[in-house]
Amino acid sequence: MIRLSVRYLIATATALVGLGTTPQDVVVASPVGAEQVGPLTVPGEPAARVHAPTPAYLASCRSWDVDLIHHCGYWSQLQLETAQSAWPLPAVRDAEELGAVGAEVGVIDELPLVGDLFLQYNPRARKFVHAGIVTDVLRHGRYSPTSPYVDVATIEGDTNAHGGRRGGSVQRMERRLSHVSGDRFLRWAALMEYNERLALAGAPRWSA
Amino acid sequence: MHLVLMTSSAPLMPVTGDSRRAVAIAWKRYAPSLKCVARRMTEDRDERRDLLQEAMVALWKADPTRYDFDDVEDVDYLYRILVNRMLDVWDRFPKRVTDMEELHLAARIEGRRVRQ
Repeated sequence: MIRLSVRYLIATATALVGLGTTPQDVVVASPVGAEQVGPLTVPGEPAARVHAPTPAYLASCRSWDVDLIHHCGYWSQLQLETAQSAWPLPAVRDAEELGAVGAEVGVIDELPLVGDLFLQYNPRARKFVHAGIVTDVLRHGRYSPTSPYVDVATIEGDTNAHGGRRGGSVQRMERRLSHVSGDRFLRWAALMEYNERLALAGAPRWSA
Repeated sequence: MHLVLMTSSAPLMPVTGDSRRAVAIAWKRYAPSLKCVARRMTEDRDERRDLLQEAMVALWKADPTRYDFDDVEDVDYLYRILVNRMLDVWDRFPKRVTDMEELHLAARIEGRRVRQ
């Protein structure tokens, strides 16, 4: 088994920065789950009847921020000889599930290290709503003695230049996070030992 | 599916973002309503400026990128954070005869405007 490498993950994610979906791409993502690429037309209807995405439709589309993490994680930790990836996290549906996985194996932290996955918290929804890869820890600061924050550089999917969700592109971002606001960091590299222990015990490990 | 889309012929997009830009964008949405609420709170221009400044700081700290601006509940939640901050500050001003119920009603009315 290859050892987990934070550098590989960051390098793989960096290669994808700048790519993204166009609004037309979003339209082709069918709300019923059919996966197709190409203009969405109604069979038998003229091509001019291409539907513009409505806010309600866009809201029904799943964000792909965690998909990007899994894609980069899986391929960055892949050993070609054995065709096995050492990426220790399962493919999950959203940031909240990713946080649950991290909490289950005890790798959630309040402060970041380079290579961690950040989990951004929404106090209204009371769950993690966005995730990405921490590529650098820029500075620690405080709004007040009880309100610390940390500025991090990140690479994240399905965002835009001002950090909005469902922004449709992979961005290198500067982001301010705070554990007081509920944000957390998933230290996946700490799972290396966890995976090795499972392998020794003959148990199946998490992977794609 | 998403990875297929990502590697499609989409044009290259800006590569360096800053989540703090979201504050300016969110402020544009909230400012008109907050100004109306501030006018209801006080006639003093300096006090109104203080109220709005505190609301902006609260918005900065709350980090608008946490919220989904297509979600009415999120928009409403953030609006309440800002108005509550303004009420906290207003509470510290020299007291005048002000109808609190009217103030809360005005905040609620303005809140509806923000959601639209």
